[in-house]
Amino acid sequence: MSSSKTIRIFLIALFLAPYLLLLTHWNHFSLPPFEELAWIFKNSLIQSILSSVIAIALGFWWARGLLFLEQKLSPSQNRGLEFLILLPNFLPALFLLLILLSVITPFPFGLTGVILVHALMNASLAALFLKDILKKKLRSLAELCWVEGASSVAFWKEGFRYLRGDFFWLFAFIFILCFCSFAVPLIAGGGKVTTFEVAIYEKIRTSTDWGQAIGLSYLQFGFLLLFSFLPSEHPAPQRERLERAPYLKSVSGGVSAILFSFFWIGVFLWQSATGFAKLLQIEGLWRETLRVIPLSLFLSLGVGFAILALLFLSAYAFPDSWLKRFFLGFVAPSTALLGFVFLFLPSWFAGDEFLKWMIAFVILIFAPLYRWGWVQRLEGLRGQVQVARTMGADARMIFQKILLPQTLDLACRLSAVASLWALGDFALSKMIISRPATLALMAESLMSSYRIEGAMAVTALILFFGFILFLVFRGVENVIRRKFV
Amino acid sequence: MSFVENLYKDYDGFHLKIPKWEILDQGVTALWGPSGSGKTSVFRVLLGLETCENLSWRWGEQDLAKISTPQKNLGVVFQGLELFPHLSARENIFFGARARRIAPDRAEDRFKKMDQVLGFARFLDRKAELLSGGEKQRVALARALMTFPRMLFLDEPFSALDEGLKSEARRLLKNLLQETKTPALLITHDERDLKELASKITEIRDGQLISGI
Repeated sequence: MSSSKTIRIFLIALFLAPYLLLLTHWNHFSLPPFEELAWIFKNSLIQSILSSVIAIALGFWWARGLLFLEQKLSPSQNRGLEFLILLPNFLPALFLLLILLSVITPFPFGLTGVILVHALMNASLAALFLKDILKKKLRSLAELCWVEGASSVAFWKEGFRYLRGDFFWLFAFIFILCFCSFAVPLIAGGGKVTTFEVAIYEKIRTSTDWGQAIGLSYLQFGFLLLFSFLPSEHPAPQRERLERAPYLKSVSGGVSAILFSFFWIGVFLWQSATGFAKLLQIEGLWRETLRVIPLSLFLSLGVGFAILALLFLSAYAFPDSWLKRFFLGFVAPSTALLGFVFLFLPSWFAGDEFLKWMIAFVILIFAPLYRWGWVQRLEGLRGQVQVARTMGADARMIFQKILLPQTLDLACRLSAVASLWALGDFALSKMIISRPATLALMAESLMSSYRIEGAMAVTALILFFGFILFLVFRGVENVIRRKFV
Repeated sequence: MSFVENLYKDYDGFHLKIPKWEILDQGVTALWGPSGSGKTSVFRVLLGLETCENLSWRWGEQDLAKISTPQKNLGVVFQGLELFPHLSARENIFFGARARRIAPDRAEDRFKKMDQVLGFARFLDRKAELLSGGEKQRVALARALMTFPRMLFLDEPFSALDEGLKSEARRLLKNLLQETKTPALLITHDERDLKELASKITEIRDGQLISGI
């Protein structure tokens, strides 16, 4: 068997393992009574639909604002602003949750709270996506309408019709993110919003009803599978000048985008500064915080390196359209179910819960990372790989000489992101590790006891170490480039 | 002589129907037709980049359709050239020689022979991404021929060049193919390519060969 084929089989087996474990260990399933099921479905649908619609509406406003600012700010200022706007989407959920909990008092726990957090979390992603789409697709139309004197209403009437497909794609993307979200409904729901993920968690945690938890998970999986039939790739962004397309720009959107970026970072810095003082005041808390740092870093680095290895393995097996389709369509089991599957696996060795959490976390985040830029980078190299294959190069040579040098930077960046997510994970680790053994679990524990400033200070440490992890993976990139490229 | 048989393939409403076609094993066979006529699809199927059941491509005693793409020993220049941007011109050219484990002195001889025709000494150590259009073209041709391919496949190889460079590139290609005694399959919609390069012209329309079969 060729090495590429072995790798493909390994990858597919690894990611299907949770499903196989479910089928072999807990092979019976049932569904909750109809009223309860309808309630769960209603909550999940309402929060996902409203969160997506509000995120897109806000994102659309900010996108036009960013287009306005593009002409006013320098390229580096624009990049910085986009980075700040995108941070809430890319940082662990804990981060935005804490900021909103500290700013909005009383926080509207329940459906409103979940929608608020989801909408703000995803609006930035929507803004950057729509900004590129508006530039790419509507620039000429906007200029034409402006030159010919058409009103902005007439322009947007046609513009929206033209962008229907893009809006739908974006809606589906955010909808899935919200539908599968676990950490946000768990915290911001305040026990009042039972979504699929929360219901699965509660079924196992409180009533140990595995049958219904698995039944709900299959139902959720089947529902999400419908979305995998949607086209999985959206148009690539491109840079174009927009000097004469006023209909696309919005001054108020620009102001609000700037306010949003600086508002949350300001709140975070202010609250964590006061939080550190409290952290030092509470007897033993600072010592405990320092104690969990090494393990947190070790686990995050473990996840980062595992993701790096998996990304390289998937590149080694490239181009294989079957594997690509598998990862583009792969839906990991619900976070709650995955957590409990690994929790109730027979013990491998003492302290194996950390290894189990790492494997589960990698299974949970690999497919989104694969879809988030990796597959596009590989696809961009398809032509080169085909030429190399035609010239007789084997898989190893293609990987080493063509793919590795041109994907190393992205692989290390994605691994750094993965390790940051791992550092900030409290949802999955709460189920498998169950005691506050990591920074994120400590932050969650402080947040649950309403010590928001203390939680914020611990989260600031997560961000600080997250930055260090980025530097570590930058170093890894340099070492690999020097030694192997 | 080499004969292609049973090249039938469906692409969502577009059908390739080529029951039989002779591709010369010397000189340049040109597959000519308008955009969307199926030229590139034929090219990709013959290279083995797309599957085609029942296809046969007889080359002497061998059926090239039954062996994998690397084993076919073909050289290829795609429309986008697909140079490896992070490698220098020299590394690009020698990539195939390393892949096919061609002895260094034999590879060096081949390289010198091509250098006499293409003249790439000036930019040999420059990264491919920094080369001009004409220089990239030369590197792509040299890279494809470095492995002593049984045939060179060229898909609209001059389309990225401006008019001034095109005629120079055609001249270079002609000399290079003669010097290396390599047959070629040229995919083009440009009639000037046919005039200056083709030994045999096959016309394709709507997925079917209509002349030069």
